[in-house]
Amino acid sequence: MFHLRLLPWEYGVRNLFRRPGRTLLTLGGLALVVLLVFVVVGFIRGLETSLAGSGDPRVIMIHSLGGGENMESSSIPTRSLALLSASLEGVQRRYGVTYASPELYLTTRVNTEGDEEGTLGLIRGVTSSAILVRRQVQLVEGHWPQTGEVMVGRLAATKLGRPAELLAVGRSIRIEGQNWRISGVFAAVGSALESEIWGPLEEFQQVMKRQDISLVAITLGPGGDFGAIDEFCKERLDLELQATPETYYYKKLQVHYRPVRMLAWIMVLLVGGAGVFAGLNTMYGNVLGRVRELAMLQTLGYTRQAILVSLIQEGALLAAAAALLSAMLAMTLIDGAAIRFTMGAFTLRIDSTALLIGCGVGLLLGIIGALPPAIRAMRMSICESLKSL
Amino acid sequence: MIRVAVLLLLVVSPLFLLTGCGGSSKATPSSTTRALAAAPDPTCLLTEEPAGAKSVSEVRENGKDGEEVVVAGWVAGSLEPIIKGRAAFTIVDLGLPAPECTAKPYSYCCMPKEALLPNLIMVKFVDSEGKTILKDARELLGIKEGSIVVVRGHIQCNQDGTVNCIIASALFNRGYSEKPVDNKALDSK
Repeated sequence: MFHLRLLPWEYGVRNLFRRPGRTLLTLGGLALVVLLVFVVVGFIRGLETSLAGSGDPRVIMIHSLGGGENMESSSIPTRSLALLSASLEGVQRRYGVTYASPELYLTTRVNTEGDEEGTLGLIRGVTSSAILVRRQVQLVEGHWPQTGEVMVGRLAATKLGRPAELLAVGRSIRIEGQNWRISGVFAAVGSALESEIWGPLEEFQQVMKRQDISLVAITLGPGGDFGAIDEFCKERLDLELQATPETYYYKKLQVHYRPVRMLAWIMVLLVGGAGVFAGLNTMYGNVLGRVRELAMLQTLGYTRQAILVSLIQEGALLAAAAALLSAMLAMTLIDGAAIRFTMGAFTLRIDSTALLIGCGVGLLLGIIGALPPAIRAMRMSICESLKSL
Repeated sequence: MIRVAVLLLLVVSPLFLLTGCGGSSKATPSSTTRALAAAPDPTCLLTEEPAGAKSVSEVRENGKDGEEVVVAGWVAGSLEPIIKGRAAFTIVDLGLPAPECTAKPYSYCCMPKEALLPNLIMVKFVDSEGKTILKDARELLGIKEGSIVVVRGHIQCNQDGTVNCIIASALFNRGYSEKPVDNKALDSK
């Protein structure tokens, strides 16, 4: 193949500019298809990253027996914290502080200012020890909530389906009939925690008339293992506790969303397939309109393979430009866009995997789209082609 | 040839975007660390089934601290009844019907805890210091989820007298069963 006398590189490039209208339309079509692929892959990657990033391998959640499927239904006595802190081996301890966070986790109605109807939000009552266990949480604005205050996750507004301004620092929200001032905004590296609203545990317990907690989250220390915690919970049947690694909990949630991910991948295939057919149609028109020109090139002495390479070059060049354009649009417009779903919210992610898939699909569209019409044109005899109108 | 190279470069150019996009890299554990399957420890196993096995519910209700017992049960009670990396597991009373709601009946995941707890107990093998042996029960005893076992050992109770677990000295493995109730008849022999 490398001994072929190929058409000049500039020939293929100039051909694209000879019909600017058709080239722009093809470029636009290809870019749109690749952009759609980016949206769907960004959705899948965002969902996967949100759930995968939500589990800390060092964190074990201790909840009521059988409550592992739905943490909101879990209820354990508040005294469990002291008992677990004293009994468990392998828990991270530093300067006399045990890394154990008692938490009240529930879904309840949240009203923003001027919103009488309200919407369901994820609430987590915490103490200051939560920040020791939830290592991914970072306060990005404001301060830790004091009495009568709450702090909101970066995606809490998306989860509530309300504008972000209504959940800005200094604004108020109503939870369980009481007004709470927003003291801060936190991020949690894109995890599910970012959809939540955090407030003081004891105040939440008083307002919600609850004396229990939902779970105790603990951090394993060096040498600590899940087996020791699991053994304690299975041995102390009277406490009715169960231990679940946080990573396992979110992995199980991922299983629930497997049909959604499957559907999204099918959409990628369908969009890609539709793109290939659209590209084929355009390229057929493009190539078959140039039958005389291609026959003339053969008359001049260029082999069919050389002309085929030139046509693929045109298609690949156009597809590469479309993929680059779409990638640029995806990274500026789609990456980071927040999406609301049942268990919170997540952001669309145009990461390296999404770029690889999107650009790969784009290039395939160009190359596969150019091949069949080019092969068909090459099969026609030179005499017939030269006479064709 | 240069033109072909330039064409190839152009085709792969969008892939250059991938460089430095911050994709997370995950370290994969070395395959050389794969554990080798070990044969069960014969010192922990009984070659013949001991007579006079009690049910789990009976032990939970009437057991006394330090009492020597022989208990028959089904290795079950949760999705992972065998504690990972430890010679400890939970057994369920052979008379407790396995739920039909799940593909893993041994998990009892859809059974209310009020029904399950009186029929559940933990069994563990300990070393000379009284600490749980840090070897997976699957390897040490050759059992798995759904195995029916007969355990010889003594009862350990909580401070308030509640039966906590059985400190086992030996175990007889009857084998795997999907429906422990069907095997209840065997328990009486």
